[in-house]
Amino acid sequence: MVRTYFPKTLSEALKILRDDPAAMPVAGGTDVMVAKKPAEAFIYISSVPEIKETCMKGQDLFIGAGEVYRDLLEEPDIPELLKAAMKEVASPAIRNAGTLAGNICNASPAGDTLPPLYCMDAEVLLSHMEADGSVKERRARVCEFITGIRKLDIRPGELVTAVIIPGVREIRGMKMYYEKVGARKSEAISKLSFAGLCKREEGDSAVADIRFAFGSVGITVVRRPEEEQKLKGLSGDAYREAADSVVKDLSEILKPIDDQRSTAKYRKQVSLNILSDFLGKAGEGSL
Amino acid sequence: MVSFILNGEKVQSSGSGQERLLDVLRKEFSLTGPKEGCGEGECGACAVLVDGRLMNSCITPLANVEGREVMTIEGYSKTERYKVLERCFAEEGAVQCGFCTPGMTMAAESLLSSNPEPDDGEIRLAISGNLCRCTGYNMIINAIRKASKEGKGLW
Ligand SMILES: Cc1cc2nc3c(=O)[nH]c(=O)nc-3n(C[C@H](O)[C@H](O)[C@H](O)COP(=O)(O)OP(=O)(O)OC[C@H]3O[C@@H](n4cnc5c(N)ncnc54)[C@H](O)[C@@H]3O)c2cc1C
Ligand code: FES
Ligand code: FES
Repeated sequence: MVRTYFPKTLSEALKILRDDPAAMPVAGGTDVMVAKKPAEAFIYISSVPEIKETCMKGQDLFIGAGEVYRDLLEEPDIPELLKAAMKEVASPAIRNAGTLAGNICNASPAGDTLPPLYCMDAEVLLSHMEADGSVKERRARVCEFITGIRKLDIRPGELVTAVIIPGVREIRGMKMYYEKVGARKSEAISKLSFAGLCKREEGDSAVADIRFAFGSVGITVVRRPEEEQKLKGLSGDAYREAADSVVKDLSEILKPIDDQRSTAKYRKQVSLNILSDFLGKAGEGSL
Repeated sequence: MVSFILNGEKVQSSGSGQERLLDVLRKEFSLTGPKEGCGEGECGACAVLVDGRLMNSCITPLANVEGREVMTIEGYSKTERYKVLERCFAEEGAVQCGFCTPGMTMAAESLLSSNPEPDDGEIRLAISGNLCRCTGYNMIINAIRKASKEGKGLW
């Protein structure tokens, strides 16, 4: 018999996970139900109120792990870059059920929210309950938490309770760029996707901060801070030259594959075209 | 045991949490309005409302409706709003084989209840998760636009 749990509070959920660490969390179930993921036990977390709230804590935004896309799209503090990606996830019915934490924990290279999250240096908040009933938390960067296709650095008994955008005000002040390429507008798993952020100082033509990440072109999302670094502080011809060399470097770095949705060749070429477009616009200040 | 409200009535299902809501509706409660098209969340033929929001019942675990209100086309068909949609779908030729129609109707209700006067772009977006193999969609869009006009005040 498969064991099923319906916790009504967070501490109940964490206690269940401590005592039955084989239990697989189910939020919206939009991945779990389709993949028919086998498990000895399931813990349904969609009725846990503590993980459905989004709030600021100091400089950081804490997004509830159980909040569905439709509600997240109404949250005023969530940066537009992340909203742009969430708006294009699946269809209205799926956005009424699916969660951001589910997208992260599903660890698919085609997860649409991942390129924005990588650009924003997002983290997950992981909670677990100790033998004495106390609750311990740790923070992990999303780019380190996801270690491969469907692979996470998650420990037995841990639950993702929030997705954190550190220094969110800073992020909201940056210009954004988002592109998803799929077979159709709605309900298409990405062939590839791209997210970018850029900031220029007031009255200065040089690029102060620039970040970009690619989805569906590798085992996990590709972001290369050392390439971004080459562009910072530059403007005019120096910037354009650096941008060309960054595009060249990325053509070596991106290693997409052929699958039922697209080909390696298409993915790579279109990703590089989008990168050039983003870098061009970022340089001109026309984002 | 999972308890929820089904078309306005309190019910208990003997199904386990991981069962698909679609199977519970069709087999246990004999509600065959929600259809199985793809079984993978992509076509919307199985769409129902959960607490007023559109959900694909083929990928909704029964556990996720515990304590919530589920409305299928059978329950919805008793409302005034339904009658307007039914008439407009018929008049605009928005139904051919009818397989997509229960889901389309629930998607239309979900749209109109939050946005009673949608523009065409909003209508297209609202039914973007519902596939129709017969009508070519324009007739459905016309029907929903017409229902929004003729049903003014109902939503
Ligand atoms: C028709 C269809 C279209 C789709 N289109 C897209 C698309 O365009 N883009 C896209 O990115 N995705 C798409 N998806 C995939 C899916 O909807 C998303 O990945 C969604 O965000 C998953 O959220 P969920 O809450 O439903 O996750 P669930 O299915 O509940 O869980 C997914 C995984 O995460 C784990 N998990 C969930 N919550 C937690 C938690 N709090 N702590 C620890 N582990 C957790 C689960 O154990 C499971 O392994 C689509 C799915 C369908 C069915
Ligand atoms: S049968 Fe549920 S979406 Fe297709
Ligand atoms: S009327 Fe046949 S699928 Fe829509």
